[in-house]
Amino acid sequence: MLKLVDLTKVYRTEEVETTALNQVNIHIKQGEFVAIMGPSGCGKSSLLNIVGMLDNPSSGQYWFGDEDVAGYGERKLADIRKKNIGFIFQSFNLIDELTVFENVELALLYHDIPARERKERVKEALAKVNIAHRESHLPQQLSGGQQQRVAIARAVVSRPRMLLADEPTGNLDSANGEEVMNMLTELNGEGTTIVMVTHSMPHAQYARRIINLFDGQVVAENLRAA
Amino acid sequence: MLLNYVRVACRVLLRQRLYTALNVMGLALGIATAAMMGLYVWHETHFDGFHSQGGRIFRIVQAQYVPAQAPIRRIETPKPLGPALAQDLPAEVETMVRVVRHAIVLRDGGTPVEDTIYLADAPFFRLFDFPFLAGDPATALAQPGTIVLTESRARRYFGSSDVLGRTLELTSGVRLVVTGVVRDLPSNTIFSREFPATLWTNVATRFQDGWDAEFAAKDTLWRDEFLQTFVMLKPGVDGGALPARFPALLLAHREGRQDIAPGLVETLELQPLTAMHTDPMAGLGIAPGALAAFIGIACLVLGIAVVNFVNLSTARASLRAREVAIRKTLGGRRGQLVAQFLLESVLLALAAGLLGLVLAELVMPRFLALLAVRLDARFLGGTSLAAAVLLPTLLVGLLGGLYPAVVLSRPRPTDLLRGAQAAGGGRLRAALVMLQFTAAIVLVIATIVMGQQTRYASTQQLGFRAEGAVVLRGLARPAGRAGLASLHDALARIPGVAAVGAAANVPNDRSEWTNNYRLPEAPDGTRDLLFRTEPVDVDYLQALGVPVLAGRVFDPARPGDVTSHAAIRAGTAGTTIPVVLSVTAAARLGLGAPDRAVGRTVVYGDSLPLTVVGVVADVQFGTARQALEGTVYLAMRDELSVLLVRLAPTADAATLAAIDDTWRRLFPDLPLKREFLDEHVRQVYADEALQGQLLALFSGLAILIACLGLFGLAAFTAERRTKEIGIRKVLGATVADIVQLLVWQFSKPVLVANLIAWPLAWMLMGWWLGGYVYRINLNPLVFALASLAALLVAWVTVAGHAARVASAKPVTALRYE
Repeated sequence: MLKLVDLTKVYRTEEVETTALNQVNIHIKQGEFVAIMGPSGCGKSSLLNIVGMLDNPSSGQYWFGDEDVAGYGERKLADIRKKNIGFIFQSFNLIDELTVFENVELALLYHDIPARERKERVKEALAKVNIAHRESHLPQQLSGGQQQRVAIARAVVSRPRMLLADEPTGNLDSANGEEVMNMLTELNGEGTTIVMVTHSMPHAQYARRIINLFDGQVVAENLRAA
Repeated sequence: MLLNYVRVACRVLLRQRLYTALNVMGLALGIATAAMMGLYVWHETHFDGFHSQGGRIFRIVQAQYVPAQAPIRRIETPKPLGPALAQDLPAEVETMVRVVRHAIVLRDGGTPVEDTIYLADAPFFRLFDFPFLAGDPATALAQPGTIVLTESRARRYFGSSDVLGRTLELTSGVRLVVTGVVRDLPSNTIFSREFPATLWTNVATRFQDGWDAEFAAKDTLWRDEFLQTFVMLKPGVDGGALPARFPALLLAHREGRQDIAPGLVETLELQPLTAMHTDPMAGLGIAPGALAAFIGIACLVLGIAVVNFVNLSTARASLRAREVAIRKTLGGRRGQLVAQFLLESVLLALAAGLLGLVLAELVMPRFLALLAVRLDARFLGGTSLAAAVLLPTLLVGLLGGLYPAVVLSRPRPTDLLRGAQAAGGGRLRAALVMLQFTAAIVLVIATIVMGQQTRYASTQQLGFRAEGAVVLRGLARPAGRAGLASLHDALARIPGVAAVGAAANVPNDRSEWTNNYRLPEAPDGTRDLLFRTEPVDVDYLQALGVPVLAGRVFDPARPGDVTSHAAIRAGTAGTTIPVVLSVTAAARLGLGAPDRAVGRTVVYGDSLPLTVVGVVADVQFGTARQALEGTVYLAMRDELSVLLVRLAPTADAATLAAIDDTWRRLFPDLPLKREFLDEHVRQVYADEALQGQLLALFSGLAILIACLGLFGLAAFTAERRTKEIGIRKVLGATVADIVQLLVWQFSKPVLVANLIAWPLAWMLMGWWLGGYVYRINLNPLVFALASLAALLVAWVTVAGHAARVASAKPVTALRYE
């Protein structure tokens, strides 16, 4: 599915140069559930941004399918991204001014899908995360767990091949966290590749494989027994 | 604490440089505009308010009321009116002053120049407080043969202002003794603007230039209205009660018929001194409509700027919800927060006010030059401007700070920390943007329509050929009258001159001679018609190039064509006087088609028969605002004072030089006054053209300020929606999608503004065009064009921000979450 070869990301400000990722090599297969762990500042988010094509690497190769997208421009990346990748964020990142339904529908608006089909798919996605009854509410009117479920619905409604989750349970209590993890597992069972950054060891245990990052380098990979 | 606020405020304003700059700039432009307009309007509405007896001084206005017709009011009065008022109303009228101007010729460095002197009754300077540098205001004009000059005229003619007792010699040989020197008049008096006066003499002064006898003869002529009469009432007299006594007074003195029209009432009115400039009578002074328009436009532009200020302030403040929450958590009271926001806003407004003042001071001279207004230095002084600007500026500052101060300081701190935005601001801002663009679009439409109308009015059918003709004036003096025929012949011999004609007036001269005409067969009691009467010579109509519609014009080969005042007064036994009618005059007399009018008889005044020999096209004597009047042309020997020289296509500079030489040779003592006819005609539209320029200037300003605001709002929105835009991009939105989103957000208020602006502009311009007899139709294309322009400008303003934000990497947008 994707292969990172000697991937390096360097941030430059006026005075300091920070190496966020240093010669990272990772190979993720179709249908895998991978958790990325590591202390704050180890490069987890940078890695996820590059994998999610929200950012370009400074050097190295990023093979997505049989394309090296490392040097692709904004427009091309956006195109690949919207067809293949869904996102879940720690802070949900729902748009305050839009209702639950509209937030989820937003993901389809950029896909040239007719209105009727959009409506069906949004309803389906909302039903899947058990939030259909709240579709006309605004995000502020929902609890954190409910908001994250909307975010998941939004991430999957476009039927991406890969789901990237950045600390999806970070802002949730344990019961809601469990629920979110169960949903991710279910999605993975249906064939979606999932890459998740997390601080939580229990939640990382849901993944098949855990990659540990430290100072921008992969320090350990543990394969969990199926 | 205050110091802390000021420090924080300065820091905030400096940090948010873009907003600060936009805010200050927009408001400064608005303030500068309003300050200039305000000063100008203030000046125009405070004419002649400085005379110490001003409350008791009135100008006499003659008024004619005919049922179902617009009253005719005029400031010209007959010469015997003033003495009659003083004599008949001794208990009410303390003193009266008549004022009339007369052109004198004197030598300035050898060449003859013309200047205007005001003949006035002795108490002139007792009524009007113009400070004397030398001489006694009470007695300066007591005797004939005296002269009072302004300081600058004294310097011009004598090279010094210390000239009391010296004499000024006219080319006629008359010597006037200087009995007073006054300081140059302030700009806000009618004696600076409408009747610019620099020289005064007693009303009985003799000039020996052919005017003395004529002027003396007018002492008893009640029908000859040509001078202004001012009265000063006795203290305590109620000016409002006097007019009721005027009709009887007039009837007692005036000879002749009063029944020009059935139901006609002729009376006098008292015009207060301070109203003289703003009463649009006789086309002098400034029309209240124009002043209202100036005030309206100034308010619009200032309003747009204030809206900007409020909009940007609230937008900026909503970004600071977190700061407010923290301050509250730390124990800040609501009042303190309100004070802080207000202080910031007032500081910003003051900065704008200061900048606005500087702008106004810089631009004011140009602005006044454009208006051709000379303002006294004391009006331009910093203090009055500053005073005019300071208070409104403070108000604007408070207004701009009030909304954010109240709204932001209200919610409980926890709401703010959780990020609940103060709702409703967005809709208010959209509404305000809509208002701004409504105003701007109306101004743009008005600019275009006024431009079209002015062009139309000045290029419409004039009824004569204005191009390629030269006008020579100043022949009303005895020397001029005496030499007119030889000048006529000499000019006609110049190569390049096609024709020469003489008249009393050329078009656009404000000719005022009107007479009653009727058909002889009209039954008694039929209303006479009032037509303009134009004395011309036998060559004039051809030289002017007026199309002949039927019959003939006057013919140099027929001596019988020419008549005179004496012949008219004597009446004609047996013979009739030939006349040429304009087509409107013929039609209004009921003569029908031009061919049928030729040969008919028309009665002039009471009983003088005239024979119509020809009918010519209408000549537009005034502006397109006035309906065409009927005109009767009489070929006369007297009254002629203007020569019209029609140039041949071969004419060049040498032709003009030859014309000038001929004049100087024949009239070494008369000043040469030559102008082109088309330029003379164009001057009628100078005011309109000026208004058009001003309007263009202000609609440009309005749009500029509105765009400054839109620019700031777009920047603000882009910033506020950074997160949303990031999310949209993560979900696959392209740059184009995002730009479209943001541009559409700002297009909506502009589109709605169009819907409001159209009917508004339609009504407004319909009303304005209603003042023209000859006018264009409102073209919907103009409206569409203005709207499109507004939309385009809005897009260009917003698109830059949108593109910048939209093309940023989404990760940058989301990182700040």
